[in-house]
Amino acid sequence: MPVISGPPRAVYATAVETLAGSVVRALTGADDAFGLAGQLVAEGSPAECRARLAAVRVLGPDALAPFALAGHQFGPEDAEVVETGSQMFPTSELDPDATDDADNTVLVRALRDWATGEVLTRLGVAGSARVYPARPGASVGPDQGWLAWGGVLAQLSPLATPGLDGPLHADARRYRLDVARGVTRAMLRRDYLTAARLARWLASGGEVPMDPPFAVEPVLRQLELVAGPDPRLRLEIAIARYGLGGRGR
Amino acid sequence: MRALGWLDAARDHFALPADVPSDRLRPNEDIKPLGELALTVSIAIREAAAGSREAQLAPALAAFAWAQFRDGDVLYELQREQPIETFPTETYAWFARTGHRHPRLDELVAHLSGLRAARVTEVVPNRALAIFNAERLLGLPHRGDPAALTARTWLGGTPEPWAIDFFTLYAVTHAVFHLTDWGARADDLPPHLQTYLHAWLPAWLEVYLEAGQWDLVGELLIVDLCLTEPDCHPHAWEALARAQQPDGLLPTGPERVPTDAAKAFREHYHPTIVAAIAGTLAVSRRIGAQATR
Repeated sequence: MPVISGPPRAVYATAVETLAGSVVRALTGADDAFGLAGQLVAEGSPAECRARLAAVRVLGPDALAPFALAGHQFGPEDAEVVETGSQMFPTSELDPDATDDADNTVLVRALRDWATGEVLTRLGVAGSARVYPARPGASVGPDQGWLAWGGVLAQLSPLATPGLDGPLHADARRYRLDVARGVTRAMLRRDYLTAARLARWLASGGEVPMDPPFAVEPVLRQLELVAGPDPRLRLEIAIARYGLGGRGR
Repeated sequence: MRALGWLDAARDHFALPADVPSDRLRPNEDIKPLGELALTVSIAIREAAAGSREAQLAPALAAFAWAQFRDGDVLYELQREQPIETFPTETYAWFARTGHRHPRLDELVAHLSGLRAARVTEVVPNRALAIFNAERLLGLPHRGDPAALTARTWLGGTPEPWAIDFFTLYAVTHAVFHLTDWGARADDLPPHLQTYLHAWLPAWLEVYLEAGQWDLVGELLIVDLCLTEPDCHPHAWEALARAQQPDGLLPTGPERVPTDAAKAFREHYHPTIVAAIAGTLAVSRRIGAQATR
């Protein structure tokens, strides 16, 4: 999340949750119509207006999920919202000379932006594609150990969307056990949002038999039943279900 | 092996209350700690990872525990008066390795374990494995089928690793301890359960390391040492070592250890037992690993 001076976190959090809730309803079929134009509406305080655009930025590719996955019509006004949000909250480009990336923050942002670009390209927006970011020295791989890698994967859950593929996806398929360990730990810590994000990675290739067995659907169902109504969590579950071949629910 | 040193120094706390007849001894408060001390030293004697001062302590502590049980008379009386209870036999089994036998108790146990009733004692599944291992240690012919007993345990079902809680994890650790006779029979743990434990021990360890639940972390590390190829988990061992007090006591969890010695014993003898067993097995497994290179 870029450093933003101004409105308090609560306004942004509310805007993100509101948009996430709309996306979830669009994915599960609870709402017939979905569009991003409402994020540009000049209603409420200036802080709330900025927050609505920031929410699009924060959700990244997930804000486009209803168009990419659930067949909602993507139009120029939707593209305009995404573009406006990108301009208002630019991500710093990957600096090839920077060496300090201990938190992988810049790489994580760049990867999310890559994913957004991929989805926009599939939705027909020219010029959206970005080069897959690479950063020698920064590690977003399983060589960090399952614990650290799980933390990074959770931040990158928007990449675990049906239709997207890349080196990270290949790693997630190859090292399913590590991801499953992350899900297990998150569930036991009652960190349900992280559990959902990591389960989404496991779900993105469908239910793949593992040895020892580890089924994703029961995790999703448990989260639905015990985790509370957090729209951001519901969003991860809804997209995970698309990965399993369902339709959001 | 500081843990064994602490247990030795705490002998008086393990001692049975003086002048209390067997039938008035309390199984959990009086018998169980002394039995677990016997278990610990029986493993040290079995592993014979010699050399350290602490390893020399084991036979003397075994003799101490046996003397506390009046050379087995206490266990014999308990078993005779409560024939259906299994804890006297389970406790006696630890002495099978330390060279201490009680002939009348042997006769009694041989008879009781051969009854039809012994096959259907109503206990939780991991406890049934404890009884199975006790009978095995005592050389008794009538034993359950370990595969069937294991299948009834939580572990045997290879369930979702996240559908577990603190207490169920203890059922898992105990199932492994009894099935493998505390690491002596690692090959008795079927391959699919070895795979299962290799997969999920790291996740469980992380959770309970974070929570500072040292007793459970210690038991999970013993489970690892009961596998045919332990993963070792060095970071978990380091955390345990940091949590351990200089005198060898390992705290149960994040709560402060009382300064009162009796209270500290009651609340923290068990994790120190766990630390001692874990330390013994870690040393002997490493020595074994080096010898095969």
